[in-house]
Amino acid sequence: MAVISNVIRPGDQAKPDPYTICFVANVAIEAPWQSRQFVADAMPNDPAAFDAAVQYSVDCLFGALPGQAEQLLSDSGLGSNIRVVSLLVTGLPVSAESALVGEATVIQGLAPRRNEMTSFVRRFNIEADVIFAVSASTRFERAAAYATTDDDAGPGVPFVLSGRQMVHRTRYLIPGTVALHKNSRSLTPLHEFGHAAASFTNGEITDLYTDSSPAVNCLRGRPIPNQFATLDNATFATDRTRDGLGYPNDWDSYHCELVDTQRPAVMDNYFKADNPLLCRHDAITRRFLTDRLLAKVRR
Amino acid sequence: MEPLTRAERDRIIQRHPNAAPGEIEADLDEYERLTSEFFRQDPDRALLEIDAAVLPARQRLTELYRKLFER
Repeated sequence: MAVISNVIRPGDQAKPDPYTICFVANVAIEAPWQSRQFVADAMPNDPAAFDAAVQYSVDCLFGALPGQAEQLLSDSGLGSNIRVVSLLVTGLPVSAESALVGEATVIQGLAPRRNEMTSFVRRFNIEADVIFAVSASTRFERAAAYATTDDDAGPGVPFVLSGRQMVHRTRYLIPGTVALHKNSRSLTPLHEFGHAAASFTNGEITDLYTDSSPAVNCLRGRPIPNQFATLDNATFATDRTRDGLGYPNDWDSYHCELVDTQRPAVMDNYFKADNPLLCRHDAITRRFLTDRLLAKVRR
Repeated sequence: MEPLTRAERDRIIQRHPNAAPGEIEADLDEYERLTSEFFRQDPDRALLEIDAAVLPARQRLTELYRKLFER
């Protein structure tokens, strides 16, 4: 067995457990997902492709792609506090423990095996708040993420979302997880990070390209009101025109005001933008993720 | 969940030349909604508490998958 672990961004080195994002080369694939059948993933045998996928994803998360507009992790001063590591292990057997993604036929995409991801990186002494498993699947390339399962018995920073008390928990029971293909480009890493960094119990960030159920960044009802939501002392307006894409007539969902009104939000269909790298998060997603990550980096 | 690209949608639509106008687009919209919602459920919690609530959506997702990708 050979282990290559790199620190790509050191984060807050004064802390024993800085907020950490881990990229891990997937060893095996559950194919099909939830079948308990496993095949080898070629990712660990192609370190150059893994490194390229990690570099692209890190640049995307931190707004460093050429011309990229969304700088959330940099603008808020978060960037220097976030540790980013990569992990590539060769020589491991194909097993349930080394399969970090599944090929989900019904979804036509990759699915995170989140408990296995968490255990796998821990074997190599990595504690991560968000884990990206990078796969070289030859069947599917569509990425998917699970939100974080917070430790709701642990400490946190309270906040109020439209009158509802919630807490930005600083600890997790299960980290946010992403199944990402090595060929993923555009804003996909940033989009999936939006899901994974959010919480099942203290605020989800959902897809805006479909008629989604309610979340921090999505509400339902007609007619669309002028006010979207309040978050602590801030009031947010609605996006009445959905960034020019328009709300289909059969939708009931509506979104928060945009930072860039000319383009889809990062959680919407960025593929429809003139240049996806110019897309920004909507206003409440930006504020929510900033507050949540600040709570975590200050733990 | 990563959105489908226009090219991916077009590829699927072309597999159904006999469908009514707009039928496959509408199915794809519903398919994308259901795939997105699939990952909204905490998977460990779902097994224990809310499987019954999400079961109809998962059955519909399977139906759409078979129509769009297996036929």
